[in-house]
Amino acid sequence: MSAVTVLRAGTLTTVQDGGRPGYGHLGVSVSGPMDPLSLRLANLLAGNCEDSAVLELTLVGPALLWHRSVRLAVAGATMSACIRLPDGSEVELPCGCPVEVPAGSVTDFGEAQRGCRGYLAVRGGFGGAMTLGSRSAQLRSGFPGNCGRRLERGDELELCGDSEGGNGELVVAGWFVRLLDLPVRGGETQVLRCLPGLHLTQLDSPSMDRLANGVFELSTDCDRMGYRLTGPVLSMPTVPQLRSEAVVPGTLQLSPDGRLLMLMADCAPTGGYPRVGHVISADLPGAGQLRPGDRVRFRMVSVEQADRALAEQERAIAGVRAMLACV
Amino acid sequence: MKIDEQILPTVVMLGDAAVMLRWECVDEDFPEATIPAIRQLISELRLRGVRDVIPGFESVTVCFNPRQCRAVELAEFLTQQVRVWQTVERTCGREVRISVRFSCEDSPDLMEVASFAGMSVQDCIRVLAGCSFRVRMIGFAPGFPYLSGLPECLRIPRLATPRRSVPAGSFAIAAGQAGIYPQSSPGGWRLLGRTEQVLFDPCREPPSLLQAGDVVRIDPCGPLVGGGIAGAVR
Repeated sequence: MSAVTVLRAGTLTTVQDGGRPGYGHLGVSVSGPMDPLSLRLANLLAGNCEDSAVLELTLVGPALLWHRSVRLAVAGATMSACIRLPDGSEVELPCGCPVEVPAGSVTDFGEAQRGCRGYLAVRGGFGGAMTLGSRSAQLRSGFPGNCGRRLERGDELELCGDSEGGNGELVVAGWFVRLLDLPVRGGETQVLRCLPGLHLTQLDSPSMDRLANGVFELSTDCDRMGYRLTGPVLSMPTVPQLRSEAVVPGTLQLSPDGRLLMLMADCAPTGGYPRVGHVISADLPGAGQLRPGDRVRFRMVSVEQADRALAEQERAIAGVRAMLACV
Repeated sequence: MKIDEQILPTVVMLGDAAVMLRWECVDEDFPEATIPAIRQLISELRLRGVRDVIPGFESVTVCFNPRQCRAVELAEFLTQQVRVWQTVERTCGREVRISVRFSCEDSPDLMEVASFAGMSVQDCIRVLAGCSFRVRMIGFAPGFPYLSGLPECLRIPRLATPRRSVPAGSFAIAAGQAGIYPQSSPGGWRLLGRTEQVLFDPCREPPSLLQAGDVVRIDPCGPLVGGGIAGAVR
């Protein structure tokens, strides 16, 4: 028997692990989580390696029936979620801490209240097919194997190993960890820090101003490959005619209509539009928590500032690791 | 790939997790196998923290985990290496022959391309068969090769309206380049023929039939080659 049955799939639920690096020169996207920090946190809390396969939940999460007792952890977006126990009682499923769930329980995720993507890790990690060293679903290429798709109702999922989590009783830790300041729907404009792109200086000066001070909004044309932004239109007096070359998640491309295109986890490894900036690594997890309608501003920073921001984030993760070693 | 050591790449940062080496003068005096060879050399160094080494027409990009190495140091190191590497002659790539079928179904744009070039369909196929294409990079989709080496007379623009679906294996040209669609996808290039060969299979090692630096030659087959109905098409 499988370990998990999908009772309801949610808006877009996929398996993601650390991603598929090493094949970019063959045209293969890196993929992996939209919010890598929350994937790592969920795994640490569940007692896994940081890059184990988890479920990435989007906007509205799934309902899952567990056939064996497991240790779970949820990180990232705060989603209303509950555990329905085999005896029919119902308790809240908290975010940011380990939870031991008895066999026969259902975890039922509702809508994301803050942020967009939740990460559900289970002790041992999710199993299933691997392609090019990764279980991350890449919908466009159909990786991995025939499972390279979103979860559907009725799917049966495997876990790695045979680890039984807990002793069959419900155990909820009395503490929680949160690493990201999650955007509230319709709330404040998020600031994404950027390093300049090669073609930034080719913008005309009003466009430079608009990029530095303008507020941009995620359109409905947003997915795991990237976000199309609406807001101020930017222009270059002479648009450079480029041949495709490398791009990375976080790259801000200027599309021919003067709109920004922010590349995300599933972006192709190459692209041919001018690059005006690159969101720094430390701010990519927060960017992965944005949803259509959210507003962003860009702030140019130095490489040193980018390095410092990342080091700070690593210290926070190291702190979680140290704390978990003690509990 | 020996080139002048004066021609050094500029270093471009792609954010804090990738460094691009970019040569400005690729078209003039830069042998087209140089970039694939440099890519290969960087990749073989297996530097700590390096995730991907991606070739472009005029660039090589090194993507890394910023938690494990620093952009500035990596850029400095690579620039020094490249200065040495590019003065040494090297070969890169294999010759790969790809069997391409030319038929009414497989070659929807062949007639238009031939008449654009002012030649018969048969002559057009003959010209393609005589080309020695070089894989400059793989991109757009897993296994899609960007090929240089198309004769000037076949420099035809992209379709004004891209097709919603191009069949897998389509051999196509546009804007002075040739390519082969590994999987069915939307596409704006002119479709000249189709191959049964599998360009990308994630279960194969290596997964991609072609790599940057390879030389590709077309073996034409199908009813439009030589005699047969070609006369009628002409």
